[in-house]
Amino acid sequence: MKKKIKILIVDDEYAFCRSLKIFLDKIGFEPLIATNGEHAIDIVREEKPAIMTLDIRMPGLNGYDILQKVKRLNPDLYIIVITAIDVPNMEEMLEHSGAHALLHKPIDLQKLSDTIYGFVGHLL
Amino acid sequence: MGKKILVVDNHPMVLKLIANLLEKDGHEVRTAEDGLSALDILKSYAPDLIFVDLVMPNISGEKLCRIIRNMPHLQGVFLVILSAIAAEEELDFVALGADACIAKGSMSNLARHVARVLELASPAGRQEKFRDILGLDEVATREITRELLSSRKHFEVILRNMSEGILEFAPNRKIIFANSAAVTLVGIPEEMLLGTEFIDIFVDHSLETVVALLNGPAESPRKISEEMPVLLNGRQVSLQFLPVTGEGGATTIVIIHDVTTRKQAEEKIGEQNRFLNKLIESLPHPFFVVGAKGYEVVLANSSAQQHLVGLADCPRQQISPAEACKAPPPYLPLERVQQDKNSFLMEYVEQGRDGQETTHEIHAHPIFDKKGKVTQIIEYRLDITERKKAEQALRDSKDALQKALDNLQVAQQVAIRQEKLASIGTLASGVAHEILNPLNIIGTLAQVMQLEKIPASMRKNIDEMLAQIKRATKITNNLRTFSHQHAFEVRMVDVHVLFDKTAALLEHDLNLDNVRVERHYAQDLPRIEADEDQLAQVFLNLMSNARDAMSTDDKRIIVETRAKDDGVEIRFSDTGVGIDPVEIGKIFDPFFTTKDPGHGTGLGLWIVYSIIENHCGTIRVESEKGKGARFVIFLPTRLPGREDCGSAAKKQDHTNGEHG
Repeated sequence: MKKKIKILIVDDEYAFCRSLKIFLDKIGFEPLIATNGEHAIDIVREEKPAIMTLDIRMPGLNGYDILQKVKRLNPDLYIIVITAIDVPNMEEMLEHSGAHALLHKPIDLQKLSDTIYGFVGHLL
Repeated sequence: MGKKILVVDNHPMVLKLIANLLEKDGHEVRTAEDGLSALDILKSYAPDLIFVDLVMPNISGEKLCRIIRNMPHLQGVFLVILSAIAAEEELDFVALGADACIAKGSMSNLARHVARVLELASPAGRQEKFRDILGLDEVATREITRELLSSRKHFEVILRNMSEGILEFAPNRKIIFANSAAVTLVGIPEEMLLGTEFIDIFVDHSLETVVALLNGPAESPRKISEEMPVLLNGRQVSLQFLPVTGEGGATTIVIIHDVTTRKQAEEKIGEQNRFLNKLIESLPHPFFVVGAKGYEVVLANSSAQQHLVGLADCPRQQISPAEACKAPPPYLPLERVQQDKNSFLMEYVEQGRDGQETTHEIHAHPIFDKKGKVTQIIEYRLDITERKKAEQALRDSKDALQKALDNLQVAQQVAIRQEKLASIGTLASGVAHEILNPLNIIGTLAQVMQLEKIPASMRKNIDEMLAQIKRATKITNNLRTFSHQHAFEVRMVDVHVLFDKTAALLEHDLNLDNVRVERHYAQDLPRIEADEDQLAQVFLNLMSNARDAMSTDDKRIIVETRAKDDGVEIRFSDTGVGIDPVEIGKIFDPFFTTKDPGHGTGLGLWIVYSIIENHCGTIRVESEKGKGARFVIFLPTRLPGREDCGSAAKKQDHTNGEHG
């Protein structure tokens, strides 16, 4: 059996993590869940996911902090920011921080899977 | 034993006769030909007996008698009057202080009478109290003499009562006559004055003046004028010298006029005039007096001459009215002054010689004659140009202050509003985030459910759920769009390029709805300082509003641009339903919408308005129900500090539509 690609879901809303996990399971990935920054960093370090979805506004470590930390742990990690925050120039800002894609909440799952499949090509 | 005798008579024959008679009897006799000589002798000589002729040049017999009687060392002298006019003059010789009187008659009789007098002068004779004039019965009355005497009496009365002092002095300058006024003026008793040298009644500088005059050429009229009086006994006097030619040589009559009072009055007037002149000159402002009828200037101070048009060529006037000179323009309402007879105050604007306008406050005071008619007008001018300027400046600064205050109030209102916006924005931003997260979860779950094998009806329901989630998302996003607290990024923006770019985004939608976009772009429209994204938002919102407002076949959005003042004007029209006049005042208010429930957030135009305001611009709307709407936007080329924007933007009321 082919090894599934690990995708880490980081969001302080567990309900969202869970619904996204269902979706990723369904489309053949191995979703992991972290609802805070420290947990997310641990998982990146231990599970070595290939892709990570990341919320920005979170209690404790926020998305930017996590982004910087995990990039040091794994510079090759694909990061998709999924946020309800919408400020101008956010895309460039995130790109500069090492994120690869920006998706707005409410998330369009089709867009998300398109984005993920875009990365998968590089992973294989 | 012989007596010491002095005989005074101007007649040498009589002198000789009497002297001979007396010397023959062993008396010591001295003689004098007039009163003056007699007085000289008497200064150092005390005779027992004196014969005095009554009619003599220089000091007369009468006077001489009185003088002798006042001389202390001659108290006991026996005084005999010799009178040639005894028949004509009723003489009271006792009153003159004489002891006896002989009427001059023939020489033989005279000898007899002299002898008789000598008897009377003896101690025994003195007891007799003899009152008769010796020889009166021997002389005849001469009419001419009587008349002359009468005439002399008249003159004496006149002389005594004249206010002028009359002195007469002999060629040797000894005073031989003084009337009562002269005696009073000189301040020396007559008996002492007579015989005194004329010049000795003066002292110091006056003495020098008089001596110089008397020693000067005799031909010239000798006079001490009233203008240059001399001092006599502390009084200022003028002197007039009148030579009189007579038997005993030329005497001089001096008329003395006391001009002290007049001089003092003149001096006082002069002093007052100097004072007034000084007073008038000390005024820094033009002061002058004009005739009430012709406005001729009779008096003007230096300032008036310097500053008044027309008065510059006038000679400097003094207090005393001088020849009138050319008058300044008659801006005084002369007739009014003459009628009203009141002082008045007026303002007058004068065109100066240099073309400068000056404002003057003119004080005018009428001067009346005895009948109460206005004859002259005193005029006093104050240059109030500076004061006027100051007043104007004060008014201006007050206006400026008021304006500043107004601006401040507007700015304050704007600040309050912006603060409100900001807090609403913060709230909106927070609310948006909090709403989007649950929407996100619902949406994700709904999408996950669609991946399951579910009945078609449920699939349709889930589609509807997702549509509603999109709607909620749109409202939420709109709500926070304007509340973005991101940096305001100013760039030079080409409005045409930006509009085209924005319109391109909507092109697909607009085409679907058959909406045409007409562009009437101005050539050489200046680029403006603006935040491109925000401006794009304005265009998007306006276009999307326009699209929604159009339902007829003619669907057009017309964009016109033109340079205006220091900025650009963008007119954004549509052919839609227009705006109800009742609602036109509210269209920029947040949450105001005319769209059907569920189709509008009510925030579109509010966001437009906020963005324009942030760009120091203005926006207004013109519309008529059924005939479309037109938004007129003005954006300045250069953005001042955004803090200063509010008031500028506020100036133009955003609802002053032509049809609203």
